Amino acid sequence: MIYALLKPVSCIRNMLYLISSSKKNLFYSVAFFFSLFISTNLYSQKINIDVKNKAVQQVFKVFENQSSYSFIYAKTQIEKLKPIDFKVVNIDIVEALDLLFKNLGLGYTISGKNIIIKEKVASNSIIERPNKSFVVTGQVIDEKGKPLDGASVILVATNKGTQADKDGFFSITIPANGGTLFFSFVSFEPTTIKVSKATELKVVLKPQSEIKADEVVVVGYGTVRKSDLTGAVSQLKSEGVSEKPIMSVEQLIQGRVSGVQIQSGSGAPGAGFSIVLRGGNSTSNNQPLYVIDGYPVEVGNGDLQTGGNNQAVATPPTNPLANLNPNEIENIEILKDASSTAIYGSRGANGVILITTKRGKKGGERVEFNCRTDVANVRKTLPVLGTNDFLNYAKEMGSIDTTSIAKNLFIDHNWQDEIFQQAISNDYQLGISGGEGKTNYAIIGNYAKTNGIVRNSNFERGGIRVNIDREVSSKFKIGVNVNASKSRSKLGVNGISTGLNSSSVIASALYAKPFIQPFNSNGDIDQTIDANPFTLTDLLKDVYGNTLFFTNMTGIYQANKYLSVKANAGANFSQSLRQTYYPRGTYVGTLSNGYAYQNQDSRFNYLGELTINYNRRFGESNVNAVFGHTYQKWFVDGLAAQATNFPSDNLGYYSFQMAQAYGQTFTSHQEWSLASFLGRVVYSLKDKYLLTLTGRQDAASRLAPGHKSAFFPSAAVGWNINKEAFVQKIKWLSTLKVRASYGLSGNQTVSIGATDQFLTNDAAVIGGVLTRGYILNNIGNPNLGWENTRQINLGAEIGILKNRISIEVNLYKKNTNDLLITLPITGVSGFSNLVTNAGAVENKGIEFDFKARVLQQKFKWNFSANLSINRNKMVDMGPLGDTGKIFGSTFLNSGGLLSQPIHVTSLGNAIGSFYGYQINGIYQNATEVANGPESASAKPGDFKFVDINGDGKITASDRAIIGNPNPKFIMGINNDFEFKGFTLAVFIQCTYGNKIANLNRYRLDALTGTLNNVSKTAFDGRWTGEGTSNYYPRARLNGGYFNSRFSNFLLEDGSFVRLKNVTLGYNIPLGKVKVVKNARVFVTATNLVTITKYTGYDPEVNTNYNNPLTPGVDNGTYPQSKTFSAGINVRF
Amino acid sequence: MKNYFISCSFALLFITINSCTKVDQQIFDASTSASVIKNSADVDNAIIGLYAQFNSWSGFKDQQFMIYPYADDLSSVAVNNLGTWGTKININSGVGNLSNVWNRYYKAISNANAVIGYANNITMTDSTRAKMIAEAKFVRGLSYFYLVQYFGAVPITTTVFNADSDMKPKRSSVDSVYQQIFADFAEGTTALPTRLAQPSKEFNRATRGAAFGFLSKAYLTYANYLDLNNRTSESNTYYGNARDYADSVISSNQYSLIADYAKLWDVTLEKNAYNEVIFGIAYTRDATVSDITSDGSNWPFIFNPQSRPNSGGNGANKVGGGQIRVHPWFYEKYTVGQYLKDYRTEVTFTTTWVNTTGKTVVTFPVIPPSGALSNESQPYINKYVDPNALNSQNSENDLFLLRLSEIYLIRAEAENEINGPSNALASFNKLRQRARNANGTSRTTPTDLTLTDVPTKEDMRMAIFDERGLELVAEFNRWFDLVRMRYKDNVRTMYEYQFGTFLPSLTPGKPTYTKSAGWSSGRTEETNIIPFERKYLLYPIPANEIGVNPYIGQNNGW
Repeated sequence: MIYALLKPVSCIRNMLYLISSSKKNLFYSVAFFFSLFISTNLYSQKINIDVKNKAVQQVFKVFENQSSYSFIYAKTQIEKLKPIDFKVVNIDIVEALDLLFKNLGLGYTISGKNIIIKEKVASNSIIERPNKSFVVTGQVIDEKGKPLDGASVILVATNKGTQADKDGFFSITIPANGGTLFFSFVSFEPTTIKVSKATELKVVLKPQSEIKADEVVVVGYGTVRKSDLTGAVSQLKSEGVSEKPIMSVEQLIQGRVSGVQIQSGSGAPGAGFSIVLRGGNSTSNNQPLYVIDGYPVEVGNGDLQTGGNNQAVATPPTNPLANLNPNEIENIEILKDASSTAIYGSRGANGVILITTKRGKKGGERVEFNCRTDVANVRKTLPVLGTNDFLNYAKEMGSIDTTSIAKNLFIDHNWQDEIFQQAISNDYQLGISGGEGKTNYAIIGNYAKTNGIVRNSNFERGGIRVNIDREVSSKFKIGVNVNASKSRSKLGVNGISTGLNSSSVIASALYAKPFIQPFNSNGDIDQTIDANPFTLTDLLKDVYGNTLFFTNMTGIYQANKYLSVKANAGANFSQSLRQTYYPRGTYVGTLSNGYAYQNQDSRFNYLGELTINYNRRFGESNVNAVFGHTYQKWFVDGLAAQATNFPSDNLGYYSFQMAQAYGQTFTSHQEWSLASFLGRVVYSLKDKYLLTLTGRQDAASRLAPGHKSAFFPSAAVGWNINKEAFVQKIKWLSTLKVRASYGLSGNQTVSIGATDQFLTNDAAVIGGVLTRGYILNNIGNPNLGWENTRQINLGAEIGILKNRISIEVNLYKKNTNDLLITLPITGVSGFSNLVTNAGAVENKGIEFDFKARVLQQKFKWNFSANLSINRNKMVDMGPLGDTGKIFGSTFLNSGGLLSQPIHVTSLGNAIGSFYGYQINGIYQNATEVANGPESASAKPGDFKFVDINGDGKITASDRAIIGNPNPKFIMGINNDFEFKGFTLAVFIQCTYGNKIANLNRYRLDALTGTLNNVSKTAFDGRWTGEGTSNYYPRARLNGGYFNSRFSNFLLEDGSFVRLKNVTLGYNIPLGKVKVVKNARVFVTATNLVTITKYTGYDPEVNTNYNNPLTPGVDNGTYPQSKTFSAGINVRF
Repeated sequence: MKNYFISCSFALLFITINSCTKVDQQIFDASTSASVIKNSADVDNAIIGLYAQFNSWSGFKDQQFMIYPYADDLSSVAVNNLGTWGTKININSGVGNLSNVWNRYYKAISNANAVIGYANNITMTDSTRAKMIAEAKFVRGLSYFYLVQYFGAVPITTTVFNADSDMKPKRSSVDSVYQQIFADFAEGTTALPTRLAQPSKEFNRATRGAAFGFLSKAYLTYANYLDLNNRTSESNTYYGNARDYADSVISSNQYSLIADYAKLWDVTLEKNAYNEVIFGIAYTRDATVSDITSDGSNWPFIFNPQSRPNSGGNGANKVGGGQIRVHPWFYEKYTVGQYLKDYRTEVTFTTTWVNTTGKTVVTFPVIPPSGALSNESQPYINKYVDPNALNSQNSENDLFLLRLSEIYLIRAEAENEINGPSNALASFNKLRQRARNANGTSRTTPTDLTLTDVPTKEDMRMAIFDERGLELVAEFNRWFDLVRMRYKDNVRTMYEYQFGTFLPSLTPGKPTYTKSAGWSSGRTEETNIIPFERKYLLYPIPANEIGVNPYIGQNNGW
């Protein structure tokens, strides 16, 4: 991190390199956006002059230096003129010229790049303007007289505006008839001043005394005043993102607001997350809907059948939102209750996350550069046996290969040390934004390369966002958002369900025996060793790249004061490429003599949307309404190919043509669409009594005819009690509001085609030739409809002492019916499941959000905390009946290691509860064995499985629910301190009461056989005779791991308290430096301290994060890292 | 201006609404029966899909064989957790192989039902339709035949399931399942082509001979079932049918025994083997896929020793995986007495080979020659060897489900059950005769069986049981024979006898070799023989199935 502190210059150099490097085509392809802005700037050049008693020619020189214009005049025209005083601050060149020539008593015209001086004043100027405009200058300061650098000065009812300079000075031209100036600055109370003649102002802005009760909240398809809001909406500003190793939206949200639980799929760079709002509604998909600048972006829909060798390509998907740079985000609104999500209808049930990206603001150019370097390390390694211990272990169980171990005593690898590395990563952000007159713009470029803590894993992203707003006329505004980015991740092979060592680097390192040599006598990686960890980190290739081009434009026509019409149209195009090569030495690679897989798909969708907004006050009533229609259509194309039998592993997937055999090629093409009408009316009476009615009618192509459309209504009421006279007497109470909402929203995650019966194919050998024939693919379900979630929400907001302390409490209950269940059905049907609507799940919970500005003096302290409690249970199992069970997919199923589900979803229990046997210690002696249910097979020192049903034997029916993967509560605590130039942000995250299935211990702790290395803790604590251990078993040669049973032995308490982030920043005093307006250095520690009983690498783990039926598993999962970061933010 | 914008906006709104209320979905990459099954060739293509069920991983390629060959003759090494059926039973209703097999057969049945539907709805000639329906029914009958043997009474379904079908089907009685099987096979006895009339591009598909053959085998099995369930008065009819249909195959002159038993197992002569093979599951070296989904077979890998090069396709030396080995007593039995110098024993088992480094390796009971590298306590099976296997999952070797030699044995067994040995010996001795022919140089053993050897029906039955043991070893018959056939006492199954009486009588444990004592110690593969329980005569209904269908119930004892 010191590296970054010392080398901000190298950051910039790297950035320039990126822009210029021909390899980074992306940057080239977006370069034209830059040029677009350069050209508009020609028409809006700004002039800053402050001269006293200077010759006119010299003043002209200043103009020429600051602009691209040249003055053309006869010497005689200016010879006679006296030296002048002239001062303008950051105003448009034309205005500056007007002022100058008015002083001089001359006129001018502009011709091309030339300013031609004329003898006469008046109408010779080609640009018409009011005759007697005047200039107001002044300074904007705070109460203590400190200039407010960058304060915005706007002439009300025009599009004119400027920005105060570094010393707070400004000048602005006012038309002859005068005007009102509006002064504002971040976290200061804005003020207005009427001016009617040229004058010099001293404008003092007061700091904002309280959090504004009437800030505007972005909701679906519009905004409402916070005081009018009747739904449960969490807001989040993206401040300080650039100072933390945050690479995705989910990390930004994690722990910051109540009601949101986020778990990482793995710690690999670019890996995906599970995000669950208010508990899992669904057994199929709990991902919320993301809406980026008004454009809905679905995650995890429309997956393609892409073939490939399951054992090779079944690694968890990467994060679909990985291409969105969190630094581009201005704020996030999380819609949680039915009142706020119903307007997203069939996609709203899992909650909606509205993302607003940064836009240009009125005022001069702002150039911001951020650069950060992260140094990451694995939090801990797990103790496993060294060679000596392994030899003793093998001897103790009577293994025959002890001689071969003894021969290799001099070799002793801790494989975890070999595969983990200290990873140094860099992140660069360059933002240019500004606005004046009728155009605002923001351009944000970023490049980040995150290296993983496992050798050769990384994630790289470069992107650019351009947001432009333009007032075409006083009534018509347009906005354009363009986001282009490219990301590429090299996946360290990650934990998957099969349990093959060669499918997970972590597993291979844990299980590799300490005395194997990774390299052969030539010094090459020895590919004859099964799952040599080096083969996995260095030779196995799994690269996923994604290119995104996402644009939308809006046009708003303000028909009159009350009515506006908004059109929103856009397109979201992404193309991804997964390239995989399994070399010899991996299971699949050895079997196939090298296996290559490539999957390319392109996804395109477009959106057309028209909404009408009506906002009007009638006496004491206020109506804010929106109605509209939207249509979105998706197109997906895919091509996946595979090849085997490569002469060598050298070229990997780059050379399919070298393969001697080709596998089945998959192509796909799908189209689907969604058409909707939507509407919302917010009615408030006396600003006290609030009513919101919302509805959306959705028609989705993916559902069967007759079931395609549905209506999702909601209603909510609110009462601003603090506006009642009887409450206003209570001085300390500044906000008191209660609200209630009830409504319906849906989830339409039905896989495309589930409504029809399709055919697929399968090959037989006929006449000696492989021949493909049609077979049935699925049972079509023509009755398929939406999952419906009915949610009731009761909320209260309390603000105390001018809202210095604010508290928000929400109570909710959600009932999701008609679950889209992939229902296991009788095999007699010829199929194993049927996608159907059945069953119901209930989630209920309470959320607290607490904010306090504890100290506001020289030493500032802001505190916020949130607490979420959710309880999830199945309340109806549909056709499965009250005893029905939906099992999760199996883990460790290769070679029958553990071919049984470890999760069950059943009546009265949480979705995906852990399900298995119970172990109650260790058999201590022969008598105990003889009295136990496994007297025939068990021996003293073996696990004592509990005979739950009491039938005297251990069978599959002795399995029961043994743990809940959901936490009892989750909590986030933020502390922000500020003193002089220093800031300190401390963020603590806490999860309590969930269980994690630590499947790594299945092989590490069973102490069975010498196929893999084992845990040192288990070996040291093993049973060696009566009374020696009642937890770890004896070392034994045969019998399989845990008798092939999943048990409570492998379940661990997943609770943790974690110092997630600590950021210390310092604003460098700039003194006389003029170029730089603000400079800040910071250091951040992430995951610095973690208090947990969990014995695996990290308690933040969820291997199968995208499957709600199999939560809370740690299976060879890439762990989270402990990261130190440092960097610099500079604003010019 | 204002009005212009408003009217434009509303016009736009109406345009979008009108153009967008159609929410069509097109899935160009998937086909429905309406879009792809249009003529008889398409239906024929769907029939190929039926055979694809049998060669799959959970069909005959792996998951069943993981269960049923592990009877008392062969056993698996520790890597396969299921272990040996009968000696280290790890099978319970939750074992994945079971539900895979259950689901696979019903998938075949479901697709067969679909094909029957297509054939009835598409325009084609009556004879084509009859042939297609008979072929689908053959697949369906074969599926029910295996299901009833594994699981006993199972649900019968003859329609394609849709979302409104009864998802909790009840079991049909064993009798009605057999009636379904007989009816399904019977259709093929007229509508399917004979082997010699079958077009070469349809080679490997069902023939009239296969329908006759399986009908005969199914009748025999059902008659055994009746006998075992004290319904001996009913069984004679079915033994009669078994015998008559066996005769139909024999007298059809479509099949002949391969003169040299070894040539039957030569993968390069596999096509020729179909002179004797009545129905087989065909595999080929599938270069396109190297994993378990390939359409190559994996028995060479599974049966051949890990150090025997060019046998099983695994690794650079194309060795086997050594996963299934022969019980020492079983091999020994076929080297003495009636089976002394039986050519089939020599062909069938591997006891000596040269390993990848050129050293000789031997197994029990071979006395290691000087210089031999090592000795192993269990012989291997030599019926499946493919020197050109692409990898462990990709060998050429087919699985012969029914051969003419078994038809002779079925005929002998059925006739013996009705009338005793006199008229059964002739067809039995056909196999002895072929064995004596050896590789063309005739031998004197095994001699023909005579009434002196087997004076009673029960003696003859035991001789047939033993003959099947050798002739058909590793052809996935042993477990079925054990649970189907009765011991001499006419009460116990052979399974009960073998595990309850015979195996416990042997010296437990594997044989070990020392120079001084030669091969000594045990003759079993395991020291613990799991005591017989009645429940072992059927497999448990898969737990998954019980979980979704409360009416299915569990088989007794599981």
